[in-house]
Amino acid sequence: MNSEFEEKLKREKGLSRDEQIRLEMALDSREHAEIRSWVGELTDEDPSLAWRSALNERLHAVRTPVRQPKMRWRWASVMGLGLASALTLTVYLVGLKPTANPGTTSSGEKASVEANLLAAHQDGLSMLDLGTGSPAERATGLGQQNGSFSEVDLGTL
Amino acid sequence: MSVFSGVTRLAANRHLDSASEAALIEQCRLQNFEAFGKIVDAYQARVLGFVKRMCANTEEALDITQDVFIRAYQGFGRFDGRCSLRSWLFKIAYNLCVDRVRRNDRHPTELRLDASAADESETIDVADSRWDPEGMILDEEFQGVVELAISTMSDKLRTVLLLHDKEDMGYEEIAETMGIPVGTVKSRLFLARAHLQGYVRKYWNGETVQ
Repeated sequence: MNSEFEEKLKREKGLSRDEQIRLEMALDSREHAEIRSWVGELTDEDPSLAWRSALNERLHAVRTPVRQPKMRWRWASVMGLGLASALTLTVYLVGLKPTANPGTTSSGEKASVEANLLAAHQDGLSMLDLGTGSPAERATGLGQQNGSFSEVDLGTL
Repeated sequence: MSVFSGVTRLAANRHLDSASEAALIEQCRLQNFEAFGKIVDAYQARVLGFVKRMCANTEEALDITQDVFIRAYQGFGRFDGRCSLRSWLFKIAYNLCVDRVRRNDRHPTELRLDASAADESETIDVADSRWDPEGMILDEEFQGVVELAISTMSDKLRTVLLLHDKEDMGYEEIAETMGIPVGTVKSRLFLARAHLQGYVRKYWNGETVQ
């Protein structure tokens, strides 16, 4: 290799096709293979255990735990089961709660009670018109007390 | 922050085969600490070797190498696998070295690898009982010359030489890592080898190299 060619390489300028071939041949020559072996045979040494220990500490410090997808699914299923249990329990407890206030009954039940009361009242009136007590009055004896006068009452008139 | 005792052992050969490396990469994407530890085991010596040769200061090199692995651990989610794990790690290492060099406003000719000072604090475990002390001393001396030659070349040449001849990376891989054309990689590799050859010739001729 002449110095002119080396200067061209140092300037890192484009090489002609012939120069490129010349460079390739030089790099593949026995002379260069020997130089390559000198570098390749240089020994590397392991760092000390103290160095490795310090590296491990630094790696632990920068470590960010990654949750496994399997664990996420497991937690989701547990959460879902808990939520469903809580919902069921709530519905059950609400169902058992006594309705102390009549105003809290549903409108359907209310209408039904009123209809029954009205029917019983009309039935009672019709019984009075016919001179007989209502079945309820006859059962309790109230009809007799209210509908007929005693001898004491007659005496006071 | 560095209070490390430096490097103490010759690196064991812990290269990962592609299948096990791919499996480890998948686990590392989920921030699996143990899997990442295996990757550190496999690459720590090579990355440290590269960084040490790039910045010449052992304590600084140890710090930078830690930063390489911290960044890799944090950024594994963004590792798309288009390049190899090795290329990706060396790209991080290269960028951190360039950043540090810029910050320190370092000039290549100012820093020299003080091989004798570095060797004093190190102990080397020799596993092979058939070792040849005389040959080892010569090898060490020659390796010292090669290391010295590498330390005195510019960052541009050194990076290409180390990535190609030490880490066996291809021209395209290096070009992608450094963000330069393939032709420039080849030119720099040629010049780096010429620089190294000049140093070794001086050493063989009995001249003082520094």
